[in-house]
Amino acid sequence: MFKYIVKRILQAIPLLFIITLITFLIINLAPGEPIYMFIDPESAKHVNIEVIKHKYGLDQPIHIRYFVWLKGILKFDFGISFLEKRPVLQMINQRLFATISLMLVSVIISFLIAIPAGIVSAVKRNSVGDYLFSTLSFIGVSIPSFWFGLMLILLFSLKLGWLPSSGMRENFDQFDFVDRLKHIILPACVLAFGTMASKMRYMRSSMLEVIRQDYIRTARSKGLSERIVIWKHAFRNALLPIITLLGMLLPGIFGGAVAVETVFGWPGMGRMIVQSTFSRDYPVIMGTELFSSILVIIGSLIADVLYAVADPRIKYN
Amino acid sequence: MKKIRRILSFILVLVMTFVSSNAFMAKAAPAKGNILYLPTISDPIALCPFNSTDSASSDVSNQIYRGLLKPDFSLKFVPDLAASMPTFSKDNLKVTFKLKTNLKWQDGQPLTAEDVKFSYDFIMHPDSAAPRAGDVIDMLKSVAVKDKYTVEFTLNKAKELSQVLSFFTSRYIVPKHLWEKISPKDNMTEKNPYNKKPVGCGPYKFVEWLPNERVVLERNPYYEDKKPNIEKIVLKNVGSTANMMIQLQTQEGDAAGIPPTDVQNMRAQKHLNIYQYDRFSIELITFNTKSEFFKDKKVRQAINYAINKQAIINGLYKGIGKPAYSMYFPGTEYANPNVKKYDYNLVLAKKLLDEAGWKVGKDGIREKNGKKFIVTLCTNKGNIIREKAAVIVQSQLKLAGIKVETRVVEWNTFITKYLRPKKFDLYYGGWLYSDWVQDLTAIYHSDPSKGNLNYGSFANKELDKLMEDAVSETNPAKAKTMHLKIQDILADEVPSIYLLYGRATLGVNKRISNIKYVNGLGINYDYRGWTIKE
Repeated sequence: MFKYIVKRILQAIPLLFIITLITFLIINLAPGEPIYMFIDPESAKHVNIEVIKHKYGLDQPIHIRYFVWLKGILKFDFGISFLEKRPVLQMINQRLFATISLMLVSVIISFLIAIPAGIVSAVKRNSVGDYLFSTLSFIGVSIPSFWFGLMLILLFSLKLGWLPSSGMRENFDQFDFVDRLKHIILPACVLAFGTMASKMRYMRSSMLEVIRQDYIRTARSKGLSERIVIWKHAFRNALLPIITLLGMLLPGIFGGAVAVETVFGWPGMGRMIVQSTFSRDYPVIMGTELFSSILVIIGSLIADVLYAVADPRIKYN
Repeated sequence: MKKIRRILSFILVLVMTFVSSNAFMAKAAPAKGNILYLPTISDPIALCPFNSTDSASSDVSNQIYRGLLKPDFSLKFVPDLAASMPTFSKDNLKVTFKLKTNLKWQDGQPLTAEDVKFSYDFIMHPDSAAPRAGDVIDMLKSVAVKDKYTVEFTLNKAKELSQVLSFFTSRYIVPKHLWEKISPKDNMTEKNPYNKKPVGCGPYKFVEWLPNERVVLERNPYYEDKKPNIEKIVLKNVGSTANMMIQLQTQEGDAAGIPPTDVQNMRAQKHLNIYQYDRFSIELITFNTKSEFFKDKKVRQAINYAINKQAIINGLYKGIGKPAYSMYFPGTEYANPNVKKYDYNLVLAKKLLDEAGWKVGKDGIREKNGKKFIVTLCTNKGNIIREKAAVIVQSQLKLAGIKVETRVVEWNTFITKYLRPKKFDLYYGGWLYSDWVQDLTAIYHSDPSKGNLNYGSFANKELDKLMEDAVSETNPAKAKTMHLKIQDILADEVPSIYLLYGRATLGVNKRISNIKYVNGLGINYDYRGWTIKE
């Protein structure tokens, strides 16, 4: 097992290298220059632009810039944002908590609802409940999250006045749990509603597959109660595909949800990534890209390891 | 299954009690206390007036920093850090300012002529690469300290009075005792802490800036003028205009600019006062005069007649705005009230196009020497009103037999791929000015080093000379004649179609009173009079 993990990590290094190279090429191929984001072309004379370009090394050819960036990464220096003039790592760090807390709460909500709903629809296939959950899940996938978010704001903030419409907190002096909860509930629900559907369908189909297996029939014929058959024998096996899903959630947790963060004015990663893309803030784009690539790799590694833990039939050599 | 049901119902009860508990039932807390909550769309970039060009930054830094002069609600320039208006040498090349003697920085240190000299020297330092340095380098030759409270500026070239006064309203004075530790080459880097944590001398001082959350300002105890009534200003980044409107409605936010489409809805809100005022801003369509379609001024005039400006204002701006005829704002010093006006006249437009040799073809599109009149109109993405206006222009010009293809491009791409390389026939844009003083050299001068914003490559030697002379003419009467003539030439040559002057709408919660504003400058970044009823 240990050997396997080491092997996977070593394999990841050239992969990361290729990812960063491609990303760097693509963002530099995109039209537009970062310079016009922090220099107003309206007020700056041409001379100034050259001075500033030189300062940020933007007058260098693209391959030189890539190697300069790579050299920094090897020293764990992600560079400094063109736009904000802050170290990229510090910027990521400042927003990491907001994003992770939002994502975790939404993931918990979506699993809490999706797993039981998936099981019920599988066990009571073609029942009213099954159709109801399926319909709801399709609605969840289909509704654009920014629209759903705005509707919830209209209802809960504007009409009822129960919840704040925007931001992460009102109490800036200390960590106020109720305050945080009030702010997180709407965006987390919108996110959960959107992703719930796929989890539910996964759970349903994997459960359906499992309860057709011979050992389930055996368990039933032994005279075990339906509750024990489903929850003890079928559930654990049906969870396997969901574990993969968990592993793949990690980069999503980091990347945030752009639309939802914007609608709810959430101070997270997603907004920063969009902002940096529009302003051609290369160090930030590269930094976040590298970070999320690493997380995808770790995520899939964790999923594979969890597989082995959950399913004794799977062995890695 | 029973156990699960029991657990589920327990969770349900828990959630229900939590939701219905006082903490949750309380209405989304309306803004309260002697604090002004301003919802905003984006974070500032740098909290230093000469290191930033975006409005989010100036909204904050204009409360923190001051200039020697400032534009006043009376639409005159008045002293701010200066004790009185400056005096000029005989040749108008030297400008001397006396500072107030009781000025202090927010850390209690005195503000003197040394700070003023240091600031302008710092901006002009070739290494500082301040985004706003260009204007300063153009204007100033050197700065000298005469005594503790007297500072003398030497200009490169004598300038017309209002040009000089306007120049000195920039809030560029920074504290020498802190900034002298910064090497100019570190100005735009993270080694300059004052882009993030400014120390200034304005009515408010900086408290904190949480990225993507909020910026907090607090009344500056060392401010020597009349202190503001409101103790704190919280600029809360809510990420979108839609959210700003919601914040106004839920009373979480106190004041915000309202886009034309939301004005009616906001007027219906009982807790809001609505203020409307003209801005020194203009929307315009600029011709690429190098394009084969627009070389002929008759064609440009024809298109000016073919565009129904009032229809755009009524349809898109909901009637908020006035048709524009000149780059100079009506009612200001040098505006030409008798400038030629292009009111909508489709018949005349068609006649002019015919005269220019563009005849209507079989498909209804005009053509000349086998060339169809098909042009592109570019504008930047993100400004929804402009995107829609481009479509309206397209349909209006269709009636004149001109096919317009609209191209809406993301801003950065728009500038680098279309505007600068001049790959467009028409572009829809706008200008927003901080005061009423106009210098069009950058926009219409045919020499690229002077006309750095002349994207339409407009060239007219007479205009070039007039624009240069007008800004350096120290005799106001002569300057006025020149400015009037400039406007006549622009109206005749039509390098751009002036569509409308901007008008802003501000919604303010009724708990706040004494809102002062004036046509042109709006609220003029001045919150000092605003009062909160508790």
